[in-house]
This record gives sequence, structure tokens and C-alpha cells, in this order.
Amino acid sequence: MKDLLQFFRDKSLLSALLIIILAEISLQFGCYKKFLKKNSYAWSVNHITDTAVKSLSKLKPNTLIMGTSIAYEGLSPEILNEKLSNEGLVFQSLAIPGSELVVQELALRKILDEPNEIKYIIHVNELQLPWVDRLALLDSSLSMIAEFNRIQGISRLHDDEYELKINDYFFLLFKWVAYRRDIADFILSPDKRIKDIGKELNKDKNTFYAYKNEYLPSMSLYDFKSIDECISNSSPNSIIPNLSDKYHKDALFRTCKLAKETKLPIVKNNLTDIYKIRIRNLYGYINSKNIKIINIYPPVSELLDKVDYKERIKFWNTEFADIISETRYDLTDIIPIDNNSDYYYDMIHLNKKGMELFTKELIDLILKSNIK
Amino acid sequence: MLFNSFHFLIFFPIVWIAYQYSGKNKSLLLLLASFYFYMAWNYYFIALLLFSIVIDYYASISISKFGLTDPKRKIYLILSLVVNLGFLAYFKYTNFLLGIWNDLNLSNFKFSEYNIILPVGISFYTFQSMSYTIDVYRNVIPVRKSFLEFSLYVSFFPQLVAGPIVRAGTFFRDLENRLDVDLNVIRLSFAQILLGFTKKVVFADNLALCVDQSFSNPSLLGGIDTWIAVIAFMWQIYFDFSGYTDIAIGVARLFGFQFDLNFYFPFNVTSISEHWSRWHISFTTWIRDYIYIPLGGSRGSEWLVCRNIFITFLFGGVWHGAAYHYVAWGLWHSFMLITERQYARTKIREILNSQGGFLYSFSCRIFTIFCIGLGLPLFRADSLESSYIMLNKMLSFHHFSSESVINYGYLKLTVLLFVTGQVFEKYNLKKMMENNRSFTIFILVNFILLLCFSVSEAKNFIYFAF
Repeated sequence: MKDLLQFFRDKSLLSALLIIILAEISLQFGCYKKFLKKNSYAWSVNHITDTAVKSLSKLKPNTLIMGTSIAYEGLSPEILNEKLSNEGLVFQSLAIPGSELVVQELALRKILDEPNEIKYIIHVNELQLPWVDRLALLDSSLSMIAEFNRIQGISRLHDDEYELKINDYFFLLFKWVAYRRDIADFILSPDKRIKDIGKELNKDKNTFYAYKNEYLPSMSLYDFKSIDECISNSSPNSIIPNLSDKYHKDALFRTCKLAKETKLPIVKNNLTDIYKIRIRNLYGYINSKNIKIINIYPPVSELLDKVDYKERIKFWNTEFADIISETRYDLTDIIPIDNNSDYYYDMIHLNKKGMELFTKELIDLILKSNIK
Repeated sequence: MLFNSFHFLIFFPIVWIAYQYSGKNKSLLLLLASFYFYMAWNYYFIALLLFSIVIDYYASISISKFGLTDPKRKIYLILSLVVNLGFLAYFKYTNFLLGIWNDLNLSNFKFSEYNIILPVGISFYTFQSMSYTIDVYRNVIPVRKSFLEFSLYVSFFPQLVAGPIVRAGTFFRDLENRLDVDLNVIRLSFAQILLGFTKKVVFADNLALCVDQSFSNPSLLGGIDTWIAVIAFMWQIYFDFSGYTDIAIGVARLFGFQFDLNFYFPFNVTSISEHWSRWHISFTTWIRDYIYIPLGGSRGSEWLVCRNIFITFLFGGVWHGAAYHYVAWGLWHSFMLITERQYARTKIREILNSQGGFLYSFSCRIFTIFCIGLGLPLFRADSLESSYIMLNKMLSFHHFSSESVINYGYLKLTVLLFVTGQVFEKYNLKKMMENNRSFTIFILVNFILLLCFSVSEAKNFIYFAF
């Protein structure tokens, strides 16, 4: 045992451990944040929330857009601000791709912890998607939660009734664990990462907006009339049409597969109850800040099961009658049926043309319905 | 219990600390710990292990009671062999043998497949136990009177489920004169265990992602993809098994046992025979000492020697698994060894050996890797048909293309890990620890690799299946 104790005092072992601990401390203080892989979940959540925080003092937004990638791609705060400046509304987007409600809440808390003038939140609801009611945390959600106040994050996860495993705690508490894949990627492709960092440094720092949808390709390039045809026409071995690229094809393939594989029963069960608890928690927090919530049901592709979707909205409206405010708008059908696919980048997300239409419809709605 | 599991991380320190304070009961403690280790997988099969131990103990004691020329010795040896090989045959080969009968179509009667669980480590502990009885029979080692010590020899947990196959002489030598576990031994063991974990969790498990993806759909692969998958598998199995061995050797050393080397740069070789002298050495020497040499070894006519090689490697193939493709893999290696033996007798080889220089040596290394690689689809593929598809793609210029099925990130990772692995391996651990700075770097690099590149899900060691 004496030798074992001596081993634990071994200079080599202690030096190595010390270096690891020092590195962990520097990671905890955010030294690695600037080097995170561009468009990774951790990078995105930092980029979006930091941009929003920075804009609080200069842009002075009073309306936040919240949601996932549908809101991120589908609504442009820049256009909204151009068109609605006379209405006394100033928009900023806090929509985060791939975010569960808990991530959206933590992002909102980060914003509201700063001096702000937020009075309205436009929440783009996605009731047809499978991840709103999951019990176990995905790595993507963990990555994003780890970027916020972790103690607050863990407390929110308990409130939202997630089933946390010991690995999840390690992920949330130790940055070596949270950033391990990112650091591994940096070690394997340092050239690409350094280029990205360079590009990021040269970017316009005065912009108020984290993102603008510039995607021109549309689903119609792949010429399909059903989900099955979509999967076949965008499969890995299929040809990429002009004006499309491999990223577009891949996104189309993945979202069409998701649409095919996602079959959610429209019945009340313990998972819908959990979603209810989570949205109640989020809205409870927003209400406690005296902020008005406006619910929006976003456009849905004609190729998705619309009948099912309408039923789902009806179901959720009944279920949420006591939680969701009266101010809710169904924009599911705003995209023209004839050339519906021209407005979508993939089965779920809008392209630039679609984004412009969705934003315009929201502007019209706001002008018509006096949300204030 | 897996070495790369949370269970083991708790189990091992408890056993080690208890061992330090167990006084005269060290062997008993290790035996109980070993049984617990085995029962963590499936507690029913401990009965099988115990039965093997009792039979071999009884047989060896009985053998030692008779004079060297007494034929009764043979009866007890046969008892031991029949019981051990009988269990092995039943658990590992029943379905294979019945399948052969069905495939032969000798009658209308067809056997259906039985649901038989293969007891983990049975191939290893059976061989270890049998070698003891054979050695006692041959009078190479004295019989062990203590049942406790013999039981510990068969079931010692660091080597119980996937080797190395330790000879009785080595084990009992260390049992009597255990290594003094001082600071240097702890440092060396720690380094070896750490390296073993890195090899398994970082190198092997990452390569497995590429290998599993490729071997599950061989028909989708191009020739280049197939070769990448095969080379990746070559390194995966090496890192997996040598990683396990490193952990086993390191853990055993902390209890005062010094196991022999089991791998020594097995792919950095100029011939197949050299490869076998460096790959899974404890198994290779086992089949050499207990099959090849008793058959006559390299003595006798050339035809007899070739026959001996053929039988030995046929056995080697079948030991690895009960399927036609394992048999074919064993036969492939016997074919290569026989061919190499014929080539070694030619004048050309003599001239090239003396005058070929670096170019010849380099070509030999590449050709050896090529030959080993050609055998690997037989080893890894799910069936003989899948192996055939892969071999066809590897050898045909028509298929020499890439279908980009494989994620080439894995290839990049493979290269990086391979280089790191080679540096580790080449750098003698003992020598490295003399220098504090290099030992610090070694620990640090391993920690970082484990932190950044380890695969989250604990995967089984490949050789658990054998």
C-alpha cells in the first residue's frame, strides 16, 4: 500500500493530471468557445444567444421569435424589422435548430437575465415532431444545455421530468466530456477549423442578426409526388440535379425519411402529458416576466399528412387550452398548393422563397390582428 | 465482466486493496474474485468451470500416482481430454457439426439448430486446463497437490475469458515466488493497463465503426472500399486483442504474476511464419507444443511436415469459430505456410535474402500484409458467401473503385491512431518510464485520446466470442 500511495504522488502522474485539470478549468472559463466547430450544436447555441444578447442594448428588441430550425430558417427578424418598424415592434430571433423546449427556455433565461425590453414572444410550435416528448436526452441537447448555466440547466431538466443518467451529469459538468467530439474533430481536421475561425474573425461584427436564410434550391428540383418518391429520388446513389448540391440532397433524404418513419398517435398518454408539463414550465416562466406569448403553427409541406396534422392541432388546442394563450395563429396552409415544393428546401424547412412568404404572412397577420 | 466497464473499475480496486491485506489467504481471495468475475457474466456457467477444474485436478493427481510407463496414466489423460473437448464440442460445435450433416444431404433427416449459449472463455480455460494435464502426463511439470492453487490457475480472472493462455509452469512459478509489487511495478502495470484501454476503447472501437459498416454490406463496396475495410479490421482485431492482453498482463502483474508477451509487432513482418511467431503467441505456441510437435513437427518427410502444418492450422481455424469461413481461414493460413516453406527451400529466396536489401524486405512486408488481408474476409465475414463477394472485389481490377460507402473520416482516424499506436508500441514501456518527462507525455497523450476519441458504448472484446 505504501508503494501505491507513493505512486499517487508520482510526479509524472500528477503532472499529467494537473495539465488535464488546468485544461478543464480553462475550458470551463470558455477558452475553447471561439474554436468550436462552426454549425455544431454548441457553436450554434452560443452564436444565436450571444448575438441576441449583444443586440439588446443597440437594436433594443421587444419581440423575440422562439422555436427550432423551422423558425430559424422560416422567419427573418431583419425583414420583420424593416416592415414593422412603424408598429413599435422590434424583432430578434432566438430560434435554435434542434432545440427542445428546455434549451429554448435556457436560451430565453440567458437573454432575460440581461437588461431588456422584451414584451412579446412569438413561439413557433412544432407539434408533429417526435422529439418534443422524449425522456432521455440526446447528445445534441446535452451539448446545447452545457453551454448555459449548468446548475440552472440540471434543475430545469428535473422540472421537465427528463430521465437523467450518470453520463448526462458528466456531460453537463465536465467540459472535457462535452467538447470531446469537437476537440477530436479539431485534432483530425485542424486546417478546416483554422479556416473557419479566420472567416469568423473577418465577419461583419455590426450585424444584429445571427442568421439569414439564403437557400435557393427547392424540393421541386427532385420532382416527386410522394414521400416514398422523395426518398428514392434523393437516396445516396441518386443523381444531383442542377442548382442542387450534395448537402441539399442529403437534407432532403433525411427529412423525407424522418417524415416517413414518424408516426405519432394522436392520443393522450404519459408522453403528451410530459410535453404539457414542459410547455407549462416554459410558459409559466415567460408569464412570470409579464411577457405576452403568441403561438404560431408554421407552414407544413403538402406532402405531409395534412389531415393528421390538422387533427393534431385540434388535439393540442384542446390539451393546451389552459396553458397556451388565446393568441394563436395557424399558418399551416399559407404556402400555395400548386407549386408547394418550390417553397421548401427539404421536407421540413423552408428555402429563401418560403422564408420570405412565411415572414410576409406573419407581417400581414400582425398588422391585421393588433397583437399588442 | 468487461475490462472496459464501470463494473470492473469498481471491482478491481476493491480486490487489489483486499489482496494487500489478505495475508496468507491471497490465493483464496483471488479465486473468489475470479469466480465473481466470471459469474458477473452468467452465474450458471460457473458450474461448468468448476466441473472442468475438478476433473482435471482429479485426472492429474491420478496420473501422478502411477509410474511413467504405467498405461493407466493414459486412461486419466483421456478422461481429461474427453471431458474438456466434449464440453467444447457440445457448446461450440454442436450446431456446426449438425449443419455439416444437413449440408451433406446424406439422408432426408435434417437437424434443426439448437439454442446453445457459448460459455464465455471456454476455449481459453479448456486449453489452459488441458495443457496442465498433458504436461503432468508428459512429466514436464510436477503435479499440484493444492486444489485451491490449481483452481486459481484455471480461473485467474485477468486471463480467464480471453487469455493469454498461461502455461502451468509459468503460473505456479509466480505463485510460489510472486513478484514484489513495488513502485516500479505499479508504474509499469498502470502504463500497460492504460495503453490497453487506449488500444481497445480508442483504436479498436473506432475502427469497429468503419469495419461493421463495411462488412454488413459487402456487396455495396468497391474494391478500394473493401481493402480499406479489411485493413481497418486487421488493425481493429490487433488493437482489440492486444489491448485486452495488455490489461490482463498489467492487472496480473499487480498481483505479482508475470505473464509472457502475447503480441509483438505482428504486422511488421516479412513472412507469414514470422507473423504467427508474433501474433497471439500463447495460442500459437500452444498449438505448436500440443498439436504440431506431437504430430511429428518438422521432422520426417516434406509431405508429413506439410500435413502437420495443414492439420495444425485447420485446428487453429476451427478453434476460432464454428463455421465454414473459419475453417477456410485456417486452411488459407496453412496453404500460405506450406507455400512459404517451399519457397524458403529455393535458391531464389537465398539470393534475394542476401542481396535483395531494403527493397526486397519492404516488398516482403507488403506482400505479407496482402496475404494476411486476403484471409481476413474469411475470418470476419458473416458467411462464406460474403467472404467470396469481398475476395472477388479485392482481387478483381473490374471492381477496383470506390463507391464512397465508407466514411473516409474513419480512414483518417485509422491512420492517426495507427501512427500513435505504433509509436507507443515501439517505445518500450520500461525504458520510457525511466524518464519522467516521457512518462508524463505518455500518460497525458493516453488520457487525451481516451477523453476525446473513446467510443461511448462499451463494446465486447472480439476474442470473447472464441
